[in-house]
Amino acid sequence: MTTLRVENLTVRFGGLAAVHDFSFETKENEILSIIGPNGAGKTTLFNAITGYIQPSEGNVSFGNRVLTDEAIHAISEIGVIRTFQKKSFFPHLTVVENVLLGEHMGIRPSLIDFIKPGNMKKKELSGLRRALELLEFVGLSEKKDMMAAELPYGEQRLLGICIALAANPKILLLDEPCAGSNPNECENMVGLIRKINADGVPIVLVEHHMRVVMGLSDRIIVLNSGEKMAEGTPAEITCNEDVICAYLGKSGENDARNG
Amino acid sequence: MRKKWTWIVPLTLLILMLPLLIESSYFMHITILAMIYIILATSLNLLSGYTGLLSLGHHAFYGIGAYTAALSVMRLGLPFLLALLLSGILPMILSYLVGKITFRLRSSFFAISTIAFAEITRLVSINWVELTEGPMGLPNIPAASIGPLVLNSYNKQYYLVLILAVSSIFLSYRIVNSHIGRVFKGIKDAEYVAISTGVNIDRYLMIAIMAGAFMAGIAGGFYGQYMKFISPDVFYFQMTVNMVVMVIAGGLGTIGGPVVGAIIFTLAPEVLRFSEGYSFILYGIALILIILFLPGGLWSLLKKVKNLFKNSVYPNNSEIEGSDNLK
Repeated sequence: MTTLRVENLTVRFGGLAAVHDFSFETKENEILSIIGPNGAGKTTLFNAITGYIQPSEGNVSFGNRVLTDEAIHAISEIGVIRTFQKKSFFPHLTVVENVLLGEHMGIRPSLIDFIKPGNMKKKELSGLRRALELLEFVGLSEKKDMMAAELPYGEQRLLGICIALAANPKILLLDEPCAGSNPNECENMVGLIRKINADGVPIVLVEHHMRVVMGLSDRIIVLNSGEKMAEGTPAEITCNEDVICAYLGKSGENDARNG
Repeated sequence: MRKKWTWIVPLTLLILMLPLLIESSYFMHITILAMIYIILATSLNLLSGYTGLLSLGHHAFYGIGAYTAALSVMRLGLPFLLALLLSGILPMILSYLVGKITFRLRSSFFAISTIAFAEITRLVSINWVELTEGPMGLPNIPAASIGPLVLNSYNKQYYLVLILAVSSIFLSYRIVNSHIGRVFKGIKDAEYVAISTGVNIDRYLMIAIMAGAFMAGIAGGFYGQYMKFISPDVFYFQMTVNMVVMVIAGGLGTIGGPVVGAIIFTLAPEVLRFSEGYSFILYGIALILIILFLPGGLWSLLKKVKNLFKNSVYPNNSEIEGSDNLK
């Protein structure tokens, strides 16, 4: 069973521990959400898992492969694929080219392809066919020849996920896929994430829209100031007093002060 | 689809018959220089135009190529074609080392480190007197000979440089229109996304710089036997400035752009000669205007003109979509 395991992960920026002694393990084919207030360290956690930041302490592994000291592209090679909160696509390429780039690991030419005629073309063609299938899957096939920068915001988000899917993820890390989306786009995204998960790809989700998180997640971890505050099913998390306190403030204290 | 190729036949004929049309040997010389610049601009474009890493040390590969070819013919007595091949391979190996050291840097930091590399090669060429004869340069480089054929006239030299230029355009066309070219564009556009899809960035930058160094070295190898004399002046920084101007004004990250840029900016000083001392001012003004009003370079202007013709006959897709919206 291949699961993503994070053990005692600590990321320090100078004196500040953005993530502190954080551990979790995904279960087979689940949707795990990581939530927390702004600055809780969610994106830092993603960056540390996928190699964009070197963790100060702790271990990350996927199945029996240790990810901690691997280069970013090697981590992608293992099958741990992520999207970004910022632009998660190539703005000045067409939509279909974006997806073909996502398929890089599948269609990159090897040395033999340069010598053997026809090989390169065959790879390109099968790549293109798969790209069109994936665009169909996320619902962007009509826009395949548009520049990615010209897509409306919600569709750019879909494209980002499409690129990640093209990389054949064994686990998918989504960093705020619904950020800045309107309710319609949000609902669309939820449907897509469910579909991806139903195809057997476990998902780790960072998201602020509580409706999305509560509707999708099998399990939720709450991160606050870089530390794990709570873990459980959506129902457990909504009742957790610490979590309510972190998000809304403690009502009792305020009353006491006012009184 | 077929119509796209109609312009290519007269253009090929024109290029092949150019030596017959140009009588003055001086203009033949300018044409050959333009061809050399086509190779150089095309080679720089691979790295700086497509992957977006501005190299300001590209002339070092050209200079090393020039010295490699000249020395291996004169000192080692190698046949010209082998020397020409070496003049591509040695800069390519050096570019690998340069890449290993400098690819951790980006933007202006990368540009500065490449200048430093080029400056080192210039100093070596001046001070390693035993090898390069220092500032005296290498005179009497024999003209290229391929078997019994000695390229002792402008016309013969023209055809050789034409073959080299066409090959380098073809090579970079093949690279750019494959998946590798797509990766180059991806690196330029959003490097962090490219890595996340499993692209080994350094490897692809290496392909760009090594292919570019190979072409630039060959251009240098040709230049030496053509001029019959080289000196450390081939490492003159102005060479790279010229190339960068040609690539940017012609059109960054296009195949046609550097070609158009190389032709126009080699001819420009000649055309502007009537203005005597003012020619560089006019040159500068033209450059500023291009950068201000044609950010896509002269190549984008040509494309616009072409589209203008198309649109007058057929409305394009965007217009059809626009009319749909009106309903």
